[in-house]
Amino acid sequence: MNAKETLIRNRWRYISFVVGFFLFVAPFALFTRAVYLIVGNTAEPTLHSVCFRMPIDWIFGGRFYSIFGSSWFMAAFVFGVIISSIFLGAAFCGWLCPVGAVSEAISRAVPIPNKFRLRIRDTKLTMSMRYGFLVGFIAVAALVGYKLASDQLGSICCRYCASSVLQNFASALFGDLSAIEYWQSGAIISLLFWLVIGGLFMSGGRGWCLFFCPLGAFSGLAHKLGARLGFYRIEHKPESCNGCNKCQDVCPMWAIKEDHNIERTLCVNCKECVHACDAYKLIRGRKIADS
Amino acid sequence: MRIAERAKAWWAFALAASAAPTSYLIAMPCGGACAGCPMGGGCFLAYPVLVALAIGAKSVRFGKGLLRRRP
Ligand code: SF4
Ligand code: SF4
Repeated sequence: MNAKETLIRNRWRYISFVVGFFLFVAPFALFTRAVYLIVGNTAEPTLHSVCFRMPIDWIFGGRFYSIFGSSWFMAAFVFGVIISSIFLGAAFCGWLCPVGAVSEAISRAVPIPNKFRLRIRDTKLTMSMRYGFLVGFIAVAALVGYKLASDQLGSICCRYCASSVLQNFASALFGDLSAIEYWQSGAIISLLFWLVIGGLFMSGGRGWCLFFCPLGAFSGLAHKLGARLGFYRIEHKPESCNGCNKCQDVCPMWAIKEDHNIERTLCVNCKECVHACDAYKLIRGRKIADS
Repeated sequence: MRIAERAKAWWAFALAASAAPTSYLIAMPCGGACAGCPMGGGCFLAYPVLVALAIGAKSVRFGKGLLRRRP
């Protein structure tokens, strides 16, 4: 499939990603800025103001009270994204998140032959890796939070962060070079995992989302729960399927199982499978599955 | 077959679960300075490079041994 076709097919999603950039990334951060204005917060909003990691770190590190502190908006944002995934699927990941958008865009824009790109077809394996990393992440948060390990990883986690890399890129692009000291080991390693290994050399360009983002992992779980309860989801109709596997090739999240059903914990509702094949149908509103 | 698949999934889970704690341990000597140093991720690459060098050295010795044994 050529780039022009992909662009046309995904036009609304790509427009939405651009909107996402302006909503959350400084110097714009329009959404955060608007909320700050309403509540009278004078801080300068950036992508860090809606950190995908810290509220999860607080909860598992025994600092539950922090979500009611001065960074309450960060917690409200993260929990809002997770709870909305019950009703809308992981729509933030598939339609708004600038971090996922950049790596996906790079993978689509750079024409590397597919044989040089990694794709794991076994969804169980992908899931095991995604949730394995989440468990390790939570374990470290708990060890540090309960003072069983020194808190050096607090700073390390912030350094190894694709969102930070993106924010610092954007700041530099728009003239703020004050974060120049940021461009050291952590940023280079994150960049490597986010855009090179996870972007260029993984089919779909969502390696960071698949394996390292705790918000994405929790959103996936919430979507699975929502789909079980009958909310928004994509269903595969086996009677319309001819087994061509095109759906597996187009899914950026490697979420399509061997039997062509969708592994909901991985799906980000990008609807690539729906565009690629009539066997996939969107279920809106609340409808319990027939089977 | 199913058991093999499960074992593979659990193995992948365990490996991934160890990733964050391992990076914590590896970064320990650098303390709070980790990721803020100007090595540009050199330490991160050092481990695979050391292993590759060790394997390389072994195979070179092995190769020399093979050559020596030839009549
Ligand atoms: S998984 Fe994380 S980085 Fe990826 S799109 Fe979702 S929130 Fe963004
Ligand atoms: S299963 Fe379909 S909607 Fe979900 S991530 Fe894959 S292509 Fe997108």
